[in-house]
Order: sequence, then C-alpha cells, then structure tokens
Amino acid sequence: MTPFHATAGGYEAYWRGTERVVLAGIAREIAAMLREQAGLPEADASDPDGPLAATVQSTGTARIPDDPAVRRLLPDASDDDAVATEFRHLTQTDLAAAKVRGLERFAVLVDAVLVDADGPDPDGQADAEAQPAAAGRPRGARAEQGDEEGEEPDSGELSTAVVITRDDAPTVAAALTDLRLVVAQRLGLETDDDVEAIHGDVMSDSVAADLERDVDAEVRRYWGGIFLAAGLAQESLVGAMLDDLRARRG
Amino acid sequence: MGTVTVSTAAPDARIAEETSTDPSASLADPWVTIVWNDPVNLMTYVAYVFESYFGYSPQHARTLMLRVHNAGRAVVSTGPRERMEVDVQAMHGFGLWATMQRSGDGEAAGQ
Repeated sequence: MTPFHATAGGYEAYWRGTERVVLAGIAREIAAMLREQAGLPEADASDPDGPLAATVQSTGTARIPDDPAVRRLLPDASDDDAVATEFRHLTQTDLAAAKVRGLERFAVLVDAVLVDADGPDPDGQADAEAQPAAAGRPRGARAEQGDEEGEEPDSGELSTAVVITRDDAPTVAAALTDLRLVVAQRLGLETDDDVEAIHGDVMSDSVAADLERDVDAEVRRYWGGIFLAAGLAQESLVGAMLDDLRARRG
Repeated sequence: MGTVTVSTAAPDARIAEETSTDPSASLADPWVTIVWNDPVNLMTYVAYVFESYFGYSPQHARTLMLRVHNAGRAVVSTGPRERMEVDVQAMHGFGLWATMQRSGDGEAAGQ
C-alpha cells in the first residue's frame, strides 16, 4: 500500500489485491453491524439506496446500540439523558444510514475500482457493475509515468491504483475513520499509549498477546495490521485533501 | 480524559454569560458543541473537519485541535440549541465524538 497523493482526477494510491479485499470486507461488515444495531432494514442488492432512503422517513424510537463499537459511532450527544435520548430519536437513523452508505461506497471504490486510462469514472454511478477485468489496472501499465515510492516487491502480488474522486474523498475519509474506530475498539485501544504500542509492535513485527484484554497474538497482529493500513490510507488522503482545501481558499 | 484542565475550555463568552443579571438570559443562553479527545482520530483529520465544516482558518483549527488533544476537549461552536444539534450530528458523521450542552453548564459536571 502506497500513500494517497493528489492527481488531476482525485487522490490515488496503490493497494494490493488482498488489501482491497480485506478493507472492503471489513467496511461491509461494519455496515451490516450498523444496520442491525440501529434497526435499519437489510441491504437489498437490487436497489442499494432504496431501503435506506425509505428508513429516513420512518419513525419510532431509536434504540441505544448495545455493541460498544457501534456506540462509539453513534454516541450519546449529551451527558443529560433527556437531551441524549431526544437527539438519538431525531438523528440516529439518518446518521446510521449515512454511515452505512459511506462504508458501502468505500467498499465499492476499493474492491471494484473502475479506472480506465482517462481517469476515474466521472459520475461514479457505474461502479457497482464494474467488470472484474476493469477492476484496477496493473502497476506496470503506468511504469512510463514514473513509479510510486514505497513499492513492496516482497509479496509478488500486483498493486493497482485506487482512485478516489474529490467528490468521494470526504465520504472515504469518514468511512476510514469509522473503520479505524471499530477496529480500535476490538483491539481495546483506549489511550494514546495503546495506539503507539500497537504501531510499534506491528512495525517491528513483534506483536504479542494482550493478556490483560485476552486478545491473542494472532488476532492482535491481524487487526493491528489493518488498523495501521487504514491509518496510512487516511492520513495520506486527508493530508492531500487538506492541501487542496487550503489552496482553494488561498 | 480524566485529567482535563477545565479552565482552558472555558471561553470568555461563557464567563460573561454567567455574570449576566438579565432575567431573560437563561432563555438566550447559548449552547455549545464540545469535541472530545480520542486516541484513534488523527490530528490531520480533526484539523480537516474543523477547517472544512466550520470554515475555520488553519490557525484556529489547529488551536482547537491541540486543545482537544491536550486538554481532552474543546468547545468548537456556540449558538442556539437547534444549531448545535446540527453541529453535533455533523461531528458524529465525521466520526468525531461530540456532545452539546448549555454553555453555562459544563464544568460543574466534573468532566
């Protein structure tokens, strides 16, 4: 995985196939969990926006999610219970639906990237029907434009371009945030020191079990690697977005 | 989060509000949106949210971002309750942890 950088068509990074599949899969799992916890209807593959659009008009009392990671995504808006309950009633369905849409959009963008030689699909509507053959292009196809830094030749697996349009970028940045928040909760990362420790352990390939939280080494290594990869993607994407935002404002 | 220095989170406007003797002040009491620190959100992202959503300058956004990081929380906007509901919902949409409260409350809650 290379960092995102700005291009004419948006923001571009190179991800391996496994990175795409794993991150997209986790985003879809979180979307499904949010649906279930927030009481949204099941996904309907034939009409992905239909059911969610319908729930925006639905009424009823929003329930407090019982999964702690979902509670972090849909937190209490006040320490005053009455204020928090009213806020949840007014906003939770919309907020959860927006997060589900964002996570699913992210998943489509990274695991079925529709990119041709001219850049990303301009309106993004056709992504769901992207042909597998069009999903990303081999790195070698762009070699004449100068290779990106950070290529990792060890796996032998081809890295292909993930292109995020400027319109999609805020959605992707938010989806990466939600994904990192859930993974962090599963890893029991509660303090800055916890986060630093998992960074250090993964980077030095010395991940050990977290006995205190009963997370074994294999689980910690796997989710720790995902936490770092999503962090790299988000940091570089948001850095480029911030540069663009400031340049636009002069 | 337990070691917050609350004095840094109290804007001047709040003190002025608290010392007001106008009996209608409670009705006009503005609310505030507070963003809380968490170990996961990246400083770059928090700055991006403050600049892009609130339209704050890079300097002001950075000041607020550092206040969140160092003090554990920062008041990021002030206004009528309805407006703060919009801001809190937006912050939750971005994945930041935000709460709202009447601007006079707050520090007494011991958080």
